[in-house]
Amino acid sequence: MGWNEIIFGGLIVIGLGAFFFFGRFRAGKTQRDRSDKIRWWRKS
Amino acid sequence: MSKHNALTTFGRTGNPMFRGEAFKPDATFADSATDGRMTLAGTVNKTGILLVLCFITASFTWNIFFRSGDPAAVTGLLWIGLIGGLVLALITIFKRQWAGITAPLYALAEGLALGGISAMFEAQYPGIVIQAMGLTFGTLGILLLAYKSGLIKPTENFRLMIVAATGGIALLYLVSFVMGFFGSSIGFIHSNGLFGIGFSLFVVAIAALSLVLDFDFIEEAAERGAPKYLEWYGAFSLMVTLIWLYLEILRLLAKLRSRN
Repeated sequence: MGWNEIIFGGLIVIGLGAFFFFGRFRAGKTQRDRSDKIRWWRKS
Repeated sequence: MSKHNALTTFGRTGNPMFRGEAFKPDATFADSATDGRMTLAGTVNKTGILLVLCFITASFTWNIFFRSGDPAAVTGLLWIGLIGGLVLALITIFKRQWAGITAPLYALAEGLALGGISAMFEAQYPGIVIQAMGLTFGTLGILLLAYKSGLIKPTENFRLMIVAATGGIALLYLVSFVMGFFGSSIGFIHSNGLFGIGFSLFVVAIAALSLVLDFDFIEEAAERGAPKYLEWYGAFSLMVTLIWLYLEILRLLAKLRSRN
């Protein structure tokens, strides 16, 4: 196993780990409590 | 059932595009979910399932390619995956309720195509696939953290910018594809010159920022207690963006490697 596999394989593990761990939590208050949020369910 | 409830349930018109939540100013889905509500954990789990399904079929075509060493051996599977994936994606977009069935099938189909495409790139530039996968999932993790922490705040203007840029890129690719039938193409899209690499970097950036829109859609839908099937739809939209991002990173890396 070369450096290519170690570095980018590690990046895959870290990226997926972050997604599967943090993806389960709600976004922070600064993200949720905004007046300029996208209105996904609003008539455009 | 009161008149108001009837309108909410059945919609104001028969046109499916103009029914239901789309016309409620601040939909809470109070009476739309009968079989459970969408959650963030559920969407993350379903994204995991789609990634595994995609990986299984990708491994299948990858192995066929490297066992035979002949690109023609996977060409059929590649086209089945591409066309099947496109059809299933369109069905999922227009029939979100079916996402629980069509999204896994989409992941399987795209896996067939991705396995073949990745194997062809890997044969030409060894080590490129793990680089592209690392950068794709690294981008996913970083942008998720940036979104959750509020570092990147998607607004209506942000969405407009991403949608317009995506439309422009799609149009450019379509024109290039059609020109290909007449033996011509838009040269800079595929060139490994500075302009071609700059274009690829721009497309990678737009694809990456599209992930933020997916995160925001999923977060908002879960917040409002959307129906359970939207977990599959949210996972499907993430998969579409991830596959696009992966392919663009693969192209960018190939352009960079071809300069050496």
